[in-house]
Amino acid sequence: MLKIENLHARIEEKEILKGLSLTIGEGEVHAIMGPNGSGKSTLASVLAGREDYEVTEGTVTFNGKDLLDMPAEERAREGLFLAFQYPVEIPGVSNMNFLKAAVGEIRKHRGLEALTAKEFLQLVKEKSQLVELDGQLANRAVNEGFSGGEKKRNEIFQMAMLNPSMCVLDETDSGLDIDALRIVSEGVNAMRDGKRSFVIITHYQRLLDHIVPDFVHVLYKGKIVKSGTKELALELEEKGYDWLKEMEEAK
Amino acid sequence: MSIVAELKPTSTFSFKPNKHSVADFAMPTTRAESWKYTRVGAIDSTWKQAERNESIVALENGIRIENGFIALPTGQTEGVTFTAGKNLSVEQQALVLSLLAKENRRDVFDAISENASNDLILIEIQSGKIIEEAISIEIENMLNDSMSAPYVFIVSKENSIAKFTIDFKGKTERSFHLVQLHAHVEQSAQLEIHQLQNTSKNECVLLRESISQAEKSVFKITTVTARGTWVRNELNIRIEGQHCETFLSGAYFPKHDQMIDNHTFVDHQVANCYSNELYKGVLFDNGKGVFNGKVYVHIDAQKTNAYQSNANIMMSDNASMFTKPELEIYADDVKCSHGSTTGQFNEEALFYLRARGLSEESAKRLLVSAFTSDVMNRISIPSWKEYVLQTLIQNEIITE
Ligand SMILES: Nc1ncnc2c1ncn2[C@@H]1O[C@H](COP(=O)(O)OP(=O)(O)OP(=O)(O)O)[C@@H](O)[C@H]1O
Ligand SMILES: [Mg+2]
Repeated sequence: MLKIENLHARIEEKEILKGLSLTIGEGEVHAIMGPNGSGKSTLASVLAGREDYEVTEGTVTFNGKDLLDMPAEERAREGLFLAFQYPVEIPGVSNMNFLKAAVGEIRKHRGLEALTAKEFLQLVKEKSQLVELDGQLANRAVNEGFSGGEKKRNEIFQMAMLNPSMCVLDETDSGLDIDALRIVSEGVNAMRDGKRSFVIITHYQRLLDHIVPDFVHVLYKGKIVKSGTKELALELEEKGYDWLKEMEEAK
Repeated sequence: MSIVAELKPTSTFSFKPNKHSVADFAMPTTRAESWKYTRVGAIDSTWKQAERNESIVALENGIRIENGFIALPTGQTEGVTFTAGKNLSVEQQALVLSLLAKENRRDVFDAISENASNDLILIEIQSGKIIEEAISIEIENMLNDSMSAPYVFIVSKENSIAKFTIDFKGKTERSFHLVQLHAHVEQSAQLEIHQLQNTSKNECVLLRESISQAEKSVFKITTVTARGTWVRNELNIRIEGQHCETFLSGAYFPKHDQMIDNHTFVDHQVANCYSNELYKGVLFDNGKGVFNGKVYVHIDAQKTNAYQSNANIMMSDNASMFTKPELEIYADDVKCSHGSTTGQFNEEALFYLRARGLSEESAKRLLVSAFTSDVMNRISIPSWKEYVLQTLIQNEIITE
């Protein structure tokens, strides 16, 4: 479904991704862990199409298409969704109007009929219940004045609304209290249908107790330095990253 | 000086005591402080004047001003009297002259108005009357290369409440609107004016509005300029009585080579008044914007609260914005503040919206409507607000 090969990306002359390769199959859940500053959010941003990053080498294919050739909005319409590590506050833009526009664009792109106002509201109701997002929040301006946890829930709510096939979650667990973590995880699990794929960026094993990954990768200095199954996350939790860093430096 | 080929005083009411000769004034140049950023260029031209047309289709509930000639509404509005220039009584003539006398600016354009004015109307809101329906004024030029110069006088009598909408439409290839509006809000009266300027491609507008407020009155005005090749709005508000409230707001969206200038003046002459000013601009292409906001607090105007804010977003590297707040404060016990910002789009927000599937264009329009929503929220007539927003959508400025 998503194939990243030898990806190099830089920002302002600084190379951050240095030959990253990763293949994600249909219905798979991949967790990406790694120390601060290793390039996890950079990877997410490059996939989502942020123009500040320059891809200098490598390819990314998404369902057989050249992802890097598409503007951000087309990637979203093709089914890629990024839950931001830091969701942006947009005063004056109502969550509802924005979502209505987004759902409309995406359905149009996928050749689906536009939702009626009633159907749209029904969908909002259903999906906001999924992450137990207070109905009032949907009516407010996008993320404005939301608490950290509310912003993260809003991301997952939007994800559920837009029905993507490839979900990239960048530290969706940070800032969530224990109950919220469970609720959001359940929301994500409910969306696991054997077809939809996930890339879950996290620092904590705790999230992976809830959302059990098929694969775990460690990103360090812009490359995947180790891949394994869910046991790798436990090992990292126990031993930290130093042993991996040392191994990498020794090469 | 060649503004009109031949000034034809077609007005039926003489401005005699005040009348100035156009020849006594020169065209302002950019050396004049208040014209520093605005060249008269586009309006310094030879304009025709339309002949009086008796067949203007009057509106039932509103005033139609066509080529500068005014058609009174065919219907009646309880509590409001509309009087055409030729029918003014001696008292009404004195009233009109007293309103004119309050404005101490006299320049070439006032002289042109006085000499070339096609028509005038006096609208009086009777004391104590609450007018539920907004009174509409529709202004349109129909003759290419023409100038229109109507006068509108509004007097809101004591304890009355009324709202007006003023719709500047455009039909001509090229023409010039020189519109004067003089209003007085009497004690404890409330007057609101909501205006939209959406003139056609090469129409120029010079709108001169002079408002005075008596004790405990409220005056609110919104001016949205959706289009106009050369638009200058001069709004002078004299606060003459204590405990008044004044809200003045505007939004402007110059595209292509359009120039939109808002010159406002709030004159706090007495104590205990509140004024709140909010102007926002979004500038596209080679668009140019000017905002000059003068607030003058007289020595006796203690406890004045005056707020002013002007914010702009530049959508293009070639657009330009000139902002000049002018605060002159001579009283010591006052709260006055002003702020002005001119910036680029919030790129983070733009990316966020696009990452959810919105095209760059619709994301931008959504952000533009968000940016100007506080100005739009000051439009207290829902149907008018909807009309303004629809106009902005049609002009590809905001999205639904
Ligand atoms: N605009 C920028 N200019 C220069 N360096 C940048 C810029 N943006 C990010 N970086 C750098 O790129 C590196 C990778 O950042 P990134 O956000 O991808 O890390 P991360 O793995 O997500 O870290 P964290 O776990 O803290 O979220 C960091 O060293 C960061 O400082
Ligand atoms: Mg990060």
